[in-house]
Amino acid sequence: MTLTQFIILSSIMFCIGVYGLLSKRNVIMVLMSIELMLNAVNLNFVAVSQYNKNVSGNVFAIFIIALAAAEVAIGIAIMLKVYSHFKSVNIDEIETLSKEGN
Amino acid sequence: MLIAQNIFFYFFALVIVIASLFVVSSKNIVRAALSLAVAMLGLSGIFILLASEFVAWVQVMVYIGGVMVLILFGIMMTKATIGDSKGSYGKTWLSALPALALLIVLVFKICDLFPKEKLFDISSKANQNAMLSSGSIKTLSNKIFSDYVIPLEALGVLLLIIVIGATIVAKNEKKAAK
Repeated sequence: MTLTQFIILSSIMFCIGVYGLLSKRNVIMVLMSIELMLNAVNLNFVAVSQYNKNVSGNVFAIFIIALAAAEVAIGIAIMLKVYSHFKSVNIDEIETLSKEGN
Repeated sequence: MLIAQNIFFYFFALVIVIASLFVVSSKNIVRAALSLAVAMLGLSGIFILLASEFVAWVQVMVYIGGVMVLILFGIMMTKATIGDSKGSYGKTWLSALPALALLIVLVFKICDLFPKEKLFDISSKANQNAMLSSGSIKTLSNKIFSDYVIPLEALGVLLLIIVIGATIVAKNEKKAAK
């Protein structure tokens, strides 16, 4: 069980998150990809913290989990508003800024 | 001891990678959300393997108990097409390219920076106890309520603001006007 294994696992997870973030049209899928990336970062923090036997990384992981929950709550709230205005949650259909005289 | 840990590590890693790939490749958005929960569960298993028990239980409670319910409610409230839908842009390889490039760079750099001999040293009893205590709830709460008490208070204020702000933003204004 080496430190390298954990960090490579976390980077695989992060890159899957990057792929989802770039390729999905639905805002919920984008939020879920961001969750994947945050979890990968968490795994990094906890692994290095336990390797150095220093508790600070665990504290940061807990703060990141709390912030991720807050981020999802506010993201879903904004998404509900966007849905009631545009009748869609697909990113490429929310294009008020690109239209003229709308 | 080490062999058992390696077996469990690869088991959980396989679960995480397959579930994450299913999240980004599934056409059905509810299935994607549920497989995200599976990935979170695998990650909490990895945390337990690292002897970081409190983070593992927080992961289960907050993510699987809270965030997943929020996301499923979001799917329900926005009437997102449940079932097969055109979830991705046409050219997915265009977004796979930067992700793959990032992965290759990261893996090469990590293998360069962290040589193989950086083992988790659990051969002696003292090291095992040190790892267990650095992930235990006692050490964690001592640290949070001494060195990190101001970030904790700030986080409390932030969560309060989030609760109020999310309620105001998501409020239905037509009903409020009546």
